[in-house]
Amino acid sequence: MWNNLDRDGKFLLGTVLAFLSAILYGISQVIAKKGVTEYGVPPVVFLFVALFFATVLMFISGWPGIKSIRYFPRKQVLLLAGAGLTSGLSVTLLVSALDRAPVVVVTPIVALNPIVSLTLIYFFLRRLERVTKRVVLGTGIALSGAIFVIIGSTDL
Amino acid sequence: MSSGIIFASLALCGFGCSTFLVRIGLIGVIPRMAATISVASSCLLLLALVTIFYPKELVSIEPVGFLWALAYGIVTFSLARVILYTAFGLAGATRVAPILSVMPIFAAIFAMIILGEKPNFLIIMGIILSVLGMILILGDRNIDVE
Repeated sequence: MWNNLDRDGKFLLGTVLAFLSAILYGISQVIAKKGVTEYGVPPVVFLFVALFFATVLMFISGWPGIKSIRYFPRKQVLLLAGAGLTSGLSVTLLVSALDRAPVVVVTPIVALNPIVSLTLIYFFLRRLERVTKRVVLGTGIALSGAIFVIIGSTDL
Repeated sequence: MSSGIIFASLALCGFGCSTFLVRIGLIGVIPRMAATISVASSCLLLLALVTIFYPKELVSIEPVGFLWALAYGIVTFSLARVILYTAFGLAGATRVAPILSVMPIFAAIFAMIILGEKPNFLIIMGIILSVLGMILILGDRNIDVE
């Protein structure tokens, strides 16, 4: 669908979609907080219900394209399944964290996950993407922001 | 509070690893299909956890709580994750992953509006620094994406 776009166009659209995704993730933090704390749903149960219906919805909306998954390279499927497992575990931890601390403390910490991914990309994916000094500096500043949030959280 | 910070820190590591795996896994795969595989495998993990630890709670879940979980599933997995994977495919993880740093701003805004939470001065400073860091990253034109 995006093949007609040039490099800058892809970067721009990718950036806009990333912001949209960030907004949706921001909203989801509040939804999780509301569901888990106000209605007493255990975080893991809350997540399972959410994931179950999301999976069903994605299979229905993606059909019949879903059938083509069997033709995907096995390595890619395993990597994506691994990403799903890691992500599932992380979301469980995130919702558990939201059950124990305010949203304004938890989300800035979790938002620093690019530090981990950029480190891994720097060491293992140099042929795909370049981690520049500016990216490292920007990530460092974001990390210092998280430290402020953690210190500030002790006053809450 | 401290256990919440520990859990959040572990989640931060997990999300970072997940992004890395997605970036490799997306090569040659349609983002929507990639998101479906990822969400389905997350679901299987949670199914195992719920079956082992929370079988009674799953049956006795309140209808309102159930609806909130449904809303969370649609917003987080059916929408946000698909959009995020598409963004990864277009602009690369080096650019897209740091953009997610603005998430706290939106979370804080929605938390203030819906939950009535009030962030203090240090928290606001921390969020501003996170945004500044992101601006630096976004301004970098030398990130290659293959």
